[in-house]
Amino acid sequence: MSENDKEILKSTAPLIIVIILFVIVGKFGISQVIDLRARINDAKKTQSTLSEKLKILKSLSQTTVSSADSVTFALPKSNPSLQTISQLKLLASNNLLVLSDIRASIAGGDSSNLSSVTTSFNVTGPREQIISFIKSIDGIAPITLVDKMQLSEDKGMNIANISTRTYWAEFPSTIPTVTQSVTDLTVSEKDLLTQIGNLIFPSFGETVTATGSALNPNPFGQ
Amino acid sequence: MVAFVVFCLGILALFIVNKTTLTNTQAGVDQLKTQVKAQETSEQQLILLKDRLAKIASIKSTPNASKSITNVDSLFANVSSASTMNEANITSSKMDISLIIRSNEDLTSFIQNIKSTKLFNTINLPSFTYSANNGYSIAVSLTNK
Repeated sequence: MSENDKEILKSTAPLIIVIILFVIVGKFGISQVIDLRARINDAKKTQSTLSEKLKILKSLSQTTVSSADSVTFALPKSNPSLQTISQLKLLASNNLLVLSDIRASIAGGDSSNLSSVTTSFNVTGPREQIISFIKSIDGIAPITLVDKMQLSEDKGMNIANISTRTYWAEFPSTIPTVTQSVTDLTVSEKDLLTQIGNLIFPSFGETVTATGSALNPNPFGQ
Repeated sequence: MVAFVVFCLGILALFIVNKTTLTNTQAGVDQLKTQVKAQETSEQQLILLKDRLAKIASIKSTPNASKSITNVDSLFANVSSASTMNEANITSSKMDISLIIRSNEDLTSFIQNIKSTKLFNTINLPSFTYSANNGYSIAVSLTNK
């Protein structure tokens, strides 16, 4: 190596060292800052989700929250045969009909985790009252649908053999994590809630309330 | 060398500013988490409410013979109580009824009701007989729209 080369190396060495330091410090420092920025963005997203969630939860009216009782009556968590039979007897009595031969059998579940019980019975009385009775089945809780009806008239007396289906479903077993967003009730859900509020409720049944309940204060088991 | 020091200080300042922002944001998140946890009962009720409503909506969309019965009943508008439906087999989709109609006025009303209704997809009259003692004996088979 010539003296000239050594001189060039001496003069450029600090510059090369500084450039290397720039690269090392820059790479480390900037990666740290980028990492921090990413964590800030995540935290801000979580903050935004939580703010929205808190706003929704605080804006839930007491009426909406207490509607949980109504929907629990409308779709209970266990076999509602007794409530259904009680409701049907009450309806028959209101329509001056005689209700007899009541039979209930579990129909099984389906893909949407709904179970159902089929209740078959006979009602005897005038046709108009039987029709009125059947129409009013749509308005009782637990929610009951008419599967089929066979009507026959014998010596001026109408006898209808009616088969109804009443549903129940297990409560949800998990609650979302604290940072998971929730959505407020939609317009259609609010409409449905109003319809459920207009059902005729049994005088006994199960309920879930915010402050304490007949059966289970916390359906999520936590 | 001065440029390098300035660069290092710049990176450090940026790091400190971002770290402070993160700490503050994280503190805000923790505070919000506590507030959300305090609303846990409302959240449980909301989840329960939404779960039940979704399932109830699904039930309400299933076929219901009640509608068929209401539809069949509409055929008896303006038909006197002397005329009777002596047999009916009604499901959510199909209705087979047989009836005795005692007078020509009742028959006219019944046929008018059949002609004007838009509730059914098909209306068949498999039998239509008349006897002087009982009047018109009619069997009607209907399917819902």
